[in-house]
Amino acid sequence: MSANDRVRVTSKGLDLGGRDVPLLAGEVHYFQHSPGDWPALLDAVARLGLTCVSTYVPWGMHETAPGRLDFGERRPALDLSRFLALAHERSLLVLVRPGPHVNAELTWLGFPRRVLEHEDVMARSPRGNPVWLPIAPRPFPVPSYASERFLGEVDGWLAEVGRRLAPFQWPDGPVALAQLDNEAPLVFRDGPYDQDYHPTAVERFREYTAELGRPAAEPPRKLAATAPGDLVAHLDWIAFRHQVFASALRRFRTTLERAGLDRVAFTHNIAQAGAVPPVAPSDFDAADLVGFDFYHRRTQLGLLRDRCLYAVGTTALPFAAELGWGGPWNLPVRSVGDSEMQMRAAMAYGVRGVDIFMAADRDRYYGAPLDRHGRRQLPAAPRAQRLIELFTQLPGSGPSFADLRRRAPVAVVVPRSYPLLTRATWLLSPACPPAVEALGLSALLGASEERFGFAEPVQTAWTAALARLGGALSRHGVGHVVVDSAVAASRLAELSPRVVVLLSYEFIDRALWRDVLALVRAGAELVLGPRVPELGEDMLPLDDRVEIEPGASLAVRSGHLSLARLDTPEGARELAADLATRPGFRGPLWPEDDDLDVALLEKDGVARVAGVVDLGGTRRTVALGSGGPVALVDLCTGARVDPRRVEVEAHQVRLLGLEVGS
Amino acid sequence: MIDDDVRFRDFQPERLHRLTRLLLIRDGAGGVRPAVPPGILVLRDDAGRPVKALHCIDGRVDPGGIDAGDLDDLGRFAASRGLRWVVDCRLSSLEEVIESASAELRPGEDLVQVGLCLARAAEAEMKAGRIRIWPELFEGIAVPSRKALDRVFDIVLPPSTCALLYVFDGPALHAEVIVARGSRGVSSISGHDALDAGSPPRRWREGYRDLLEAAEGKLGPPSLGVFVELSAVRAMIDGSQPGAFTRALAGKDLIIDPMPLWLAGPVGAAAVHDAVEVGRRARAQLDGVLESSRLGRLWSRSGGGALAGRLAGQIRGAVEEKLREAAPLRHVEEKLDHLRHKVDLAEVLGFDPFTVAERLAALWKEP
Repeated sequence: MSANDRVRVTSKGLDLGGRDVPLLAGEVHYFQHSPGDWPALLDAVARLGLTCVSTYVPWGMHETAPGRLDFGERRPALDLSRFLALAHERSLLVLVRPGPHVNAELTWLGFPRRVLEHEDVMARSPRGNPVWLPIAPRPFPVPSYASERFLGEVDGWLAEVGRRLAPFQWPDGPVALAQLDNEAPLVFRDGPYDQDYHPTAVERFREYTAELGRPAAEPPRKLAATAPGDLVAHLDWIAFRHQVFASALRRFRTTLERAGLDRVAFTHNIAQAGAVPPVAPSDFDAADLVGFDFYHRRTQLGLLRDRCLYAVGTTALPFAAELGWGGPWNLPVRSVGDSEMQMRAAMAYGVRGVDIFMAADRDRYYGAPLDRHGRRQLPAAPRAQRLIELFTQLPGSGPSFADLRRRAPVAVVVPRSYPLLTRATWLLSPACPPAVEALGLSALLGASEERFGFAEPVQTAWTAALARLGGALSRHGVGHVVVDSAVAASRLAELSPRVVVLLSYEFIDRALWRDVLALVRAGAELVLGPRVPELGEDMLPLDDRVEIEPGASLAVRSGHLSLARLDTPEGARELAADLATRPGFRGPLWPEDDDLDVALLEKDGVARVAGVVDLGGTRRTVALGSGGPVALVDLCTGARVDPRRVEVEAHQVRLLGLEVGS
Repeated sequence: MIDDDVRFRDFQPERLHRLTRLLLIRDGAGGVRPAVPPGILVLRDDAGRPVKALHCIDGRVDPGGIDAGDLDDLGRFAASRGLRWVVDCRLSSLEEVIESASAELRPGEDLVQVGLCLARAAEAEMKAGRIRIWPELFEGIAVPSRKALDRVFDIVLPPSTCALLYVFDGPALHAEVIVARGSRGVSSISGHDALDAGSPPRRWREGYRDLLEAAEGKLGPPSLGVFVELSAVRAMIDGSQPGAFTRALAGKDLIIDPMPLWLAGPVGAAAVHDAVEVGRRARAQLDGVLESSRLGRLWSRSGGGALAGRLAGQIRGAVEEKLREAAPLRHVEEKLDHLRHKVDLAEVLGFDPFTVAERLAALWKEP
């Protein structure tokens, strides 16, 4: 099979045999609608300007008895083939999501009940009890992704659904993407010591630690650490859990490909928790594209910004795998304004692929642009459509959003072990960080405040430092992205930032340290801080040590290294102010207001769009700073805007086209 | 209590949004805040050292600023920090509660069972002194049995009936929710659109009966209907006006129709309570004024206190009369006291839920 025989993911979207197609999807769950409504629903999705329709394929609904599947033979609403054919007739691509975990607010979240209730399938708590997910309408014990019984059952399902999907895959049919499972990992019981102590998982952990060169260990069952060395087992445990899931995803992909689904690209999505998730997208190497779920309210634009900048910095195609429009019944209610501002913010900060979840209302979901029958709902539909249109066409003859990239001369690298530590020291189980965040609270509320022998509690300090630095850079008009250390080497080469800022404390990922020092020796400028690392993530001394005082800088071969006081607001501002004075760092437009952000998007080095974001929640008129004459036009209304008098509503995002020099 | 295939649909997002914000208090500057009294959760390690402290409004509190000894007397601790409630809990208790509940649960059980398992486990930790709550909201209250809760559910929302809540803002519908029960559990939670009744009535005080009729046709006979003006809800929530509940009822800003038997007694009691409270406050104010004046000394010598007491009695009677006018009781014409004895939730549960509600409500009152 040649490269052109397979769907590829690029930084622009999808490459279908040399043809670029933006990844603009909308979710419609065929199984929750009358088949008579499918044509109208798909027509409406196409009219919104979307290129793709996305749907779960729920195992638990298609399986009517063990070994018996219904794909429309008995219940017409399960006729997936017909749904795919209708999408194909309308030139819509399809992203299929066959699970096994689908959620969709279904009872049992898409798993067959009989599978979940098998003793060998159940994930286990530290004391060997089932791990219950207390979800409406019916709680259930979550499955263990280490359980061979569970994986065997999933193999059977995916082999069958893969066989049925294969004839519909591109180029012969509309199926271009297939998602592996859903919302990694741990089915929302992802407190650090909630699970999984299934005997197979415990045995695999011993093997995992042995492979790392550590004595084969028993998994920690609660947080028990006072000194740095005590943390190693806890960090290993959190990382191991992700590896179990990654291994499962590889197996799922293999099964689907063997069943014939071998020309699509595979995806996965990470549920929200904090600015940098505890699992890196690159951990899921079975997926060609890993995206993120966004269900923010407009009062959370700051957090949304941080997550978008992480997606933009860490992945080649920043993908909102679920961009919530409306909301499910079991999360805090979201208004149309929440949905609209979230989408505007995602676009302004550089997200380039979206799956609007949901495009059409269904049971246990409200507020989508379309109702259950495919009729447009006001005011959601026109607002969503306007934004979708901007992705492919800006007013005038300028580039579209799909062509634009975030202006970011600075890349901030976050060592992987820091969010791992945050997760390992979470105290509020069974309340999990994503649930806490969904309530509008900080995902840090549950983290331990112990220092474990370090100068500060690293598990919370790094997040505060990242927020301070991000705020300071924004305030000074210096764009930045956030790069996960797991992909630092490759992403920094792709992004070519002018300056790399490395968040660092007394310990750091050993491989990352090696990589960044190599970058510096090759000529890069690196700012690190607030501490000089001395230990690796194994809490053993680093091979390459650096001696440098705060505020000082050091030439390293052809590169440059300095230590900034990123643990203080003054230190962050100092760094941002210094960078802003350098030629080319500050953009043509910047905020003159501490509660405002200006996100610039550019093509070929020329800024073309400014997202003006109110972070403070106050309606006001603001003046934007600029280095020269700038003309602005509101992309949603077409009105011209005076940069010295920009009106912003509370928690609003304005998308402004800009021309420098006009 | 909830069907596996329960439906949740036909909501307009903005009204659903407003429904969830009904319990917010509006401040004068146009902002809102949760209607929660200030309180704190303190987590301690096995040695008793505070390791985490979370304030329900302000968020994180530095646990280093709380001495273990401070928590010996939770009431004093609360008073020193302006708190209305405190939960002091060992970290290991969280673990114990979860593991204990997890061991007890069986596949197929529902969220109510999850709640009961957690409650029983928490009760055990409280008895062992590892979870402490101030004020003692649950003193004398045992975790009810599943059978008792099921019986209460049958009383509150009988099978094949529905319950409606409609909040109006003048002529416009502000927020609504309709809960329907099938033969087993709740089968649907929906918005007005589920009734296929067209636009909601602009003159709701007359038109609410059409909504009841539409609900009966689509979902089953209503067992409870609450129709209320938004301004009345806000007055009741922010608590600034004594007697807001009774005034709303008497003034038809709040209509409860049908009035179920289990609610009639407490509604009447609340009305009586309001009347007494209004009388008490009026009397206190009056006495306060009078004490400071020569007339006041004459008033008290002449038995003015007794006069105020008789006035309170007359207010109570007038309110009860209004209550009967505002919420006609379909099948019963006996007095409210008699109704209260017909359906006594306290008897079923083994404790009076309204006592718990009163204790919780007291958290909102200024000490």
